[in-house]
Amino acid sequence: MRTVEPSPPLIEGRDLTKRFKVPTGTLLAVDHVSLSIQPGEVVGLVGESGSGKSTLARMLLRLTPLNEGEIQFEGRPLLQLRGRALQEIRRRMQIVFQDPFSSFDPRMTVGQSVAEGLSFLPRGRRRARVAELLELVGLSPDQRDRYPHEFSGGQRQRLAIARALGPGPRFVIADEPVSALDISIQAQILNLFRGLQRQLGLTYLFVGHDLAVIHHIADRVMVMYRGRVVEEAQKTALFARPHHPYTQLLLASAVEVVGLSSKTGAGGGAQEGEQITRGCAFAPRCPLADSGCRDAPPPLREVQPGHRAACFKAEQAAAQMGVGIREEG
Amino acid sequence: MNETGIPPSGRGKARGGRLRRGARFLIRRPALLFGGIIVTIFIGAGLLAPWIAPYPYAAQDLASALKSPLSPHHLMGTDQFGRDLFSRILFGARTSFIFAFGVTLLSIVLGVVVGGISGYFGGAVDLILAAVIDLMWAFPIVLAAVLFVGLLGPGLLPAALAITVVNWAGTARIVRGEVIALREREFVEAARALGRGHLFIIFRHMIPNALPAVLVLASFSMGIAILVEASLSFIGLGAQPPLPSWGDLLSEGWEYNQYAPWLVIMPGVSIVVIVLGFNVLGDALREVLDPRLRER
Amino acid sequence: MCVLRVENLRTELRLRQGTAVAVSDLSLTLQAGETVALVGESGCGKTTAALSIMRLLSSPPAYTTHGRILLRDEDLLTASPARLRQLRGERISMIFQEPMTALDPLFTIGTQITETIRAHRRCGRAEAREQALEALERVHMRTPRACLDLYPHQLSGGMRQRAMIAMALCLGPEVLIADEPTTALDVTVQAGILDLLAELRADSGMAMLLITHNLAVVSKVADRVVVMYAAEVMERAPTAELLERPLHPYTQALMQSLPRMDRSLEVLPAIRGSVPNLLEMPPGCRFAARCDLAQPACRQEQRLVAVADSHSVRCWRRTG
Repeated sequence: MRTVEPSPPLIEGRDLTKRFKVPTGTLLAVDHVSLSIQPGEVVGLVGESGSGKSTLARMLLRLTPLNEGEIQFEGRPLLQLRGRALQEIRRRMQIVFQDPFSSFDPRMTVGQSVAEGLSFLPRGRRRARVAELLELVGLSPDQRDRYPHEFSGGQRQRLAIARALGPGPRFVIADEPVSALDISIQAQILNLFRGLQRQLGLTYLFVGHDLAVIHHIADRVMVMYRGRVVEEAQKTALFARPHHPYTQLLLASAVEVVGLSSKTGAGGGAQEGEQITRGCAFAPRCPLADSGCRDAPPPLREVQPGHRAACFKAEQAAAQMGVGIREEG
Repeated sequence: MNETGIPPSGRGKARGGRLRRGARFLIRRPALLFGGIIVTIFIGAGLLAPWIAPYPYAAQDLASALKSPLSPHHLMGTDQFGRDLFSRILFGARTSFIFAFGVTLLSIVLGVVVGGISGYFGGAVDLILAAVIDLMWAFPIVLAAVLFVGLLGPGLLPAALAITVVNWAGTARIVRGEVIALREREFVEAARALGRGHLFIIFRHMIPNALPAVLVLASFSMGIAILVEASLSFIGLGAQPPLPSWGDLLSEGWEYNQYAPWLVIMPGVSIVVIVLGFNVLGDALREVLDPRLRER
Repeated sequence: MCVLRVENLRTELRLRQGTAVAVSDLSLTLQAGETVALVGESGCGKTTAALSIMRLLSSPPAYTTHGRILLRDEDLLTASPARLRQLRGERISMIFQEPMTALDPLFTIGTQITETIRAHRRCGRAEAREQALEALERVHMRTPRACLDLYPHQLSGGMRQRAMIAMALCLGPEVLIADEPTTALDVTVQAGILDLLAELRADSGMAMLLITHNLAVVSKVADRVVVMYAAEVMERAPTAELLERPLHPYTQALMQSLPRMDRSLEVLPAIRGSVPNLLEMPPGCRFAARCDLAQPACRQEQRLVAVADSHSVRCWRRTG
């Protein structure tokens, strides 16, 4: 496993909060989430629909405005930046989206799309840079004048990566980049992500719901549920010994081809919950929940060195879990 | 994930040259061909009228008054002053075209800008602009015409203003709708992440994608403008003589309906055919442009 | 007892650019109470096959030109449209990936289910409503009576899927075709739906044809697996056998390339290239272009050959 040297974090978010107005009131999509990513790390952000993971990712890039919280990128506060300074920083943090179909303007050639982030380069240099980028992701520069609809899903995802790398970012957010791809192509794209990280020294925030994919690519994993981070740990620790009942439920549900039998206390009969009120958001579905859990939201606390969980019963949950997922050999 | 293992037709091998493919494309779509031909003839006639018309618009020749169509020298006959109807129709086409084109162009520019801004920015801006758009869209054209004529006197300019003032809202609505849908597409987020400003995104991403819908609307708009101009001129509020106009021809020819029906039929049929042509073209364009856009 | 037997099914798509064979020579059988999984990626023909069996494809451009589809003893390919309408819902039913598009947003769940019932059985509205209620209870809908009067958009994803299952099963069909029923759902909800399907099958002896690209779901739910690639069947075997000893290079490569939680690799063994264009199929093995074991002999037409008891492969390298 790669070790990451301790150094000032590349990106840090504190108390990030986002509210949406919905017909039934206000939805707290992201609830005072804090995170910190070191240079060179790959952090996996796992959650299901409604977890807030995609919203959080977009908040880090200021694509979605924050209601509360602050972000520091390379040690500088991000939210106060405007105009040219903001544009400068924007070049250093990019995003690759999930849907390879709608992430390209159908009326622009792929060459033009890939060149979108190159406005800082003099015009003469752009053509060469586009060719470089296309080759970097395994495509031929002659394809630059084709239109997005002429490419397959996997190829479009490569183009999306090329486009994101154009400005020369240090930090790349990948929002479910392989979820919409055929399974025989997923491996190719995952390998590409990994290879580029090594080659260019990138830092990733990999957002997804597929635990196997996250397991493959991430060094550290954060699990979100209904706008809050419920567990956070190094990958092997999280998969081997999850401390939060929701993480356990996720693992149990994500049945592997090998047919792992993870018996946890949080499976079976779990229904989709309603809107949270006061306590732990997972309480309605949690077999360990008691009145304490419904009164106040559990804070994210350290349960093992480097391993945090937001659960009053974390130790109990970890203890009564059946078999975690350990790597062979 | 809905790739079917079959590439969209854009990638197919080119059989025959571009011309042959274009020809085959048109033949499969008779509506497009029909509308296209009519519109082309109309525009050609209108623009080239001064050069192809056999006689000037106002040239009188009392000796040849009220000749029926297909007479020698007079394809469509003459009116009570011996003026050649064919020439007059050509010049009328010219007026109609310039008028309709100007109105449509202005409506579209206005509509695209307002609709684009309203749809893209949302919030308070959208609230206000959308209200204005809805108001103008609901405003009856004829009332607007009467209003402007009352303020500025009769003539083509007031008529043009009247139509534009109401017409732009149709485009604005469509553009606003398209932009609102496009705004959520991820390539817009990508552009912002790559550092593009709002204005750039609106003009480089949104509007080109909304343009097909606008083109369709433009075609219908031309038809409407021609019809309204003819109607206004017919009742004397539009093009003022000596400016040529089909509506004018209609109203003048009305008196002689009994013994020289061609004076009414020819301009009337022209109006109908041209407006039909634009409508058919607009419809065909809608079919051609929309599904192709959805082709991923 | 065999409830569904598909023999040599062939479906073509006649397009302007040419004719693509979307399903080529598919044969499979479904016994009462068992689940057969039809597995493959996009373009493999699994969904087209399912729609062909239900006779739901529009011609043009799709034409099912060969084969037989025997529901008990009745051939669906020769049945009249009226008879097909009778059979659908009553004897053979289908559920889809996106419940939001399969359910009509304008009508309540109750209305949609009762309409289905009354279209097939003579009964009054009240009786149909009772039956609809039963159907919702069978799928463990949380508040079934209230649900009858809800609209699809008022339900969550998992509940909509349950509603669709209730509608598909309200008449007690013998065969259920499930096209990617859990793909659009959260993973914690998926397990619930799969358990529900298993329970319903156990209760009624219904057979299920499960269409999916997710091997994990297959391992949990299917008795037998049919692997399709580019319109052809590449391998078929009982589930355990396939997962432990996949024989076809495609199946093997696919399983190798999936990221797994019990191993950590720097690089995944990926399959190079992408799914071929159905209009430009090379002769011989369709996977050859992407196969590490390809030889010149692979350009010959390959046949599906039985290798062991109920395990067949379409690859000469495995069958000698």
